[in-house]
Amino acid sequence: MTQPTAAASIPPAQSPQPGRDTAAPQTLADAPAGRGPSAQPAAGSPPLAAEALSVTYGRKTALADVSLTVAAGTVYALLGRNGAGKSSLVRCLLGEQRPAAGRALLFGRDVWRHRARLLREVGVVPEEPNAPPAATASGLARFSARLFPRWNMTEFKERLRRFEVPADVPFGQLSKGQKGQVALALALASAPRLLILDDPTLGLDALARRAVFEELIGDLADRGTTVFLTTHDLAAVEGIALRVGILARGRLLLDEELETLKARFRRISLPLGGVAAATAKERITEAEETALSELRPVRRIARGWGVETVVAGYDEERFARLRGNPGGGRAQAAALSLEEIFLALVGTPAPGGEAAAAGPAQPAAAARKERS
Amino acid sequence: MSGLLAVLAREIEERRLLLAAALLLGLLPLAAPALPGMAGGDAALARHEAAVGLSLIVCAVLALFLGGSVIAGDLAERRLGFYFSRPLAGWAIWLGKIGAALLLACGAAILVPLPVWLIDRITHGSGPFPPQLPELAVQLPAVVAGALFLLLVAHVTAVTARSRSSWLALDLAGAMAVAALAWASWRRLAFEGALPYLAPLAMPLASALLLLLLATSGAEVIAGRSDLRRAHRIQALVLWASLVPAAIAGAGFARWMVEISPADLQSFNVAAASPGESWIAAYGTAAHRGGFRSLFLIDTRSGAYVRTRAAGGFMPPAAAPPLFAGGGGRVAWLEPQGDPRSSPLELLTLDLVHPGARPVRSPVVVGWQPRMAALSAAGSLIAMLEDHRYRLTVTEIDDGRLLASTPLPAGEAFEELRFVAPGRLQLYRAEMLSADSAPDGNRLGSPEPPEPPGQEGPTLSLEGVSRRVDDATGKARKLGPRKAAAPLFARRHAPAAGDDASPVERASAPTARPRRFASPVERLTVYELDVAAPRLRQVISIAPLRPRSWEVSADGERILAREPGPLDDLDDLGQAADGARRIGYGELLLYDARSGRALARLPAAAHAVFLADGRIVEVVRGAGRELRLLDRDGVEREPRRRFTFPDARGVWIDRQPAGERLLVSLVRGGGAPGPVAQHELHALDLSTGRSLLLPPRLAPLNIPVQALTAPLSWSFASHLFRDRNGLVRFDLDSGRERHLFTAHGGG
Repeated sequence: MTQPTAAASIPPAQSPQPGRDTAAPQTLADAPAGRGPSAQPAAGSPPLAAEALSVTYGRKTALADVSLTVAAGTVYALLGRNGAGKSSLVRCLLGEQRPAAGRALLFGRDVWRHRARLLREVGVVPEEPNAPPAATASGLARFSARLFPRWNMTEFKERLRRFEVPADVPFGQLSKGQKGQVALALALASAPRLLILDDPTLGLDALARRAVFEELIGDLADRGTTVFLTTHDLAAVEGIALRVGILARGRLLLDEELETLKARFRRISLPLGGVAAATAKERITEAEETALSELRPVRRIARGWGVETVVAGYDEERFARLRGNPGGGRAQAAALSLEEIFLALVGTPAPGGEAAAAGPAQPAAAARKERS
Repeated sequence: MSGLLAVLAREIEERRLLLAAALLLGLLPLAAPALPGMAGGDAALARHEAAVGLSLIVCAVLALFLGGSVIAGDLAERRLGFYFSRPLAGWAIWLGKIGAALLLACGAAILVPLPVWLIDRITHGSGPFPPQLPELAVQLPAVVAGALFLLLVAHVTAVTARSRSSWLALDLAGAMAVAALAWASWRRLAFEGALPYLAPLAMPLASALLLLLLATSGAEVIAGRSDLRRAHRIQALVLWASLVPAAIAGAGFARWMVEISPADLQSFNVAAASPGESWIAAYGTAAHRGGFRSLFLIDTRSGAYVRTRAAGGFMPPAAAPPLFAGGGGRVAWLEPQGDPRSSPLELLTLDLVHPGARPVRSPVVVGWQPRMAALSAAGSLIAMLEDHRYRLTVTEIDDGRLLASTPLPAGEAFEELRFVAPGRLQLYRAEMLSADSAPDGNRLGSPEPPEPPGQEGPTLSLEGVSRRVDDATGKARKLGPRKAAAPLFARRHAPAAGDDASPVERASAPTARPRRFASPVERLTVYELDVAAPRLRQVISIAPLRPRSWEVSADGERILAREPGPLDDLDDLGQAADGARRIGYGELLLYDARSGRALARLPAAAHAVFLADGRIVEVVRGAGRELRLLDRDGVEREPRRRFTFPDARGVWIDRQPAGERLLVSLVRGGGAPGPVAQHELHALDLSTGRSLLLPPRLAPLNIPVQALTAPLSWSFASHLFRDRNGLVRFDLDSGRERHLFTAHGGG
């Protein structure tokens, strides 16, 4: 059976496209090299953007033609399995990795060329806290205070106190959670306009994860900081992210508003009257199949009672057409959590199931085609 | 800049305990005087030396340790991203870290000796520390540069080792290529003795290497950022893309430096000439090579040449010129087997008869440069006076068989060694008999007599000493240094070096402090060695003689020597300023070299030379304008052969007899005798008395005398001259000349 569409081929609704905004970044030729006022963040440009970004390590492609834009004041969550290319993208966005093709832009400027100047406005929490192990939190704060123009030492100390992290213990002797909290405190104390967090809760316990996200929410509330976040903590992200992107095998499968995403993804349950799982999908009529395909199924799982399909193009009218079929009247639609959507898109198919979004190249190419 | 300072301060703060440890280590040298073997010595000096040594060790160890860890460690442990995720320029991160490491290493080096200095200051009021400022100004930059070099080498090595990327293959290939090229270049330069000439390049090269390491390290961090493999790739590309071409260029430079031809010489001297063939040995300074000298065997007929290593670098060519066999068929010379500073010398020979022959290594090897050597007429035997063994040896060249090895007589002053017959050689020794010889060679005499009042006569001056000569007696009195010094026509006289020709004018007396002279005399002793009965036997001894005034005929049968005169202490004085008189010399005597018997006195001779066949040409004392030809016994035979040069103010015999022709230099014109350029060179036909004026641009070659190898009458080399542009062959019969190679003749 052929599944006609893939979820990521659906054009993301209201997705601002790089180079097409009214505040589109300047071209490379326009971007001045070196320092000085011309290397300052361009006014009105999105805080973060990637333009057809590709990263390769030898013959291995880590990122392929990734484009995304994060508008000011939003929280962007980039999701993906391990090895999907999230950290490579973050490294490009921090100017640590030179892309093989494309550009990474912060505030409209090429970050590879203007990294030092642009990072004055950026707070960073790395995946693995990498501060020098002999340095204490207070020492790191003193060091950072010399680098960031809006450094707030009081806020830093207050945050450490809230986290209950000792300020005079060498960084290398802190627990993993404490290291992450120090990193977050360092990132937030610089009053950044953009916060880049590379899986900041990786390996943290539930309490520590919660503390991290509470700080983020607090900071967002206080300053309206733009946040670019990669994480596996989908439940937590669902509470704060306005927009999500999903990376799989170096390609951006999806990039859109979280609410829109959740609105168009549904799980359609189609009971087939006690058939064996092995034959359930064969019992779907052609009419039902046509109606389902209009809903853009991305994953279908045969159950003992019938077929369960995750669709990416749900709307009431299409669903009504499905239900109008002879066997479709029993079909039911259920909303999906972000985690379920993620699993449906990039997860391993369950026994007896199949995924339509297995090949990321086609959706990305299709998405580009639709944009153009 | 604030970013740089922030990184610098952070790095130093993080490792500040190293400085404290250095200060504690500085207490160790206080115990140095108590170490075994140090008891009884100068305790302060022992502490000082221990502190300096420890300081340097600490500096080097810290440079290596920090160089291998400050950046490479962060890269390998993914901690450099901490800096790169902050608003810090790549150069600030790199320079901050490297600078901090350097400051820590050098700071520790300064702190280590501090306790010793403080304690010495407290206990003795002074101490060897700190060094004087000028010393510091030299030592500190050298220490800093050395520490930086070690630091960067450790850094580059650590990045290479830690990345474990496939670029390691490039590193290995590059390192091997550079090492091979550098070793080959160094070996070539060292073996040719060219390294001393490149000493001025050492500092620029070291600086360039330091800059390259800095650039490599900087590029690696600035462009590679926090990615270890990328950093390694950039490091490898920058390093090897610079070093490999530099090493190739260095190899090319080394080749260019030493692989020179006679055409590359900007000046030359002829060290020796083959008596029978057209080969000469010429050495000179190559152009644009820092004064690098080389010695060539050149066939002046064909232009073929062999470059020898005998003269390169450390061995002055004049001290060890190639030896031409008297028969003209062979030349032999010593070359270092390897590095000229440490290798034994091996004897090489070249067949001069067969065109295209290549140098052949002989089995004869000596550990040291012999003081003097002689080649037999057939070129089959070599005799060497070996200083280090104090023996005279004779060796068969082709099979290396030692034919004779005999101890030398006690004492020094051996002047000449020559084969006088197959298997028989003579050794000449000239001992100074003056008892009051000063160690520096300046002979000291009695205190100056007081100035006699009212003396008449011409006043001459030499070395700032004014003398008044009594015309009647020819004796002079010193008048002290304050008298005006008249121009003086002086003459260098160095028979041992063969330099007996060029009269020079001294425009004014030097202002040096006057020296006092005694009147030393010399004793000439001739020893003989028969290879068949190898025992050195004294043949004759002649004394007293004027020092260095003797000359031996080509066959070794006759000796011309001058007896001491009243003004022999005037070492350089030959002829008065008016050219009319020679002052100070005793008379020339002709001796039989076998019996020591004086055969003849040459009272009229101001100067005389042997011709190749043993006849004698004397320059008549006085005006110096007449030559007389005497037979080998010093007798003027009938028909008399006298040659006068009425207009000449001086006549000098050149050592280039060409058959019945003799080259003579004439000084003409009024006033003081002029420089060499104003001389006329004549080819005098001894049989007819006719003289051929040679073109004025030609000058004689001044080929040094070599036993039995002075160019014979039929020698091609006897027609060689130099002009402003190089070496010229002027055919004395046809008057045709041919330019052989371009180089300015050296002095």
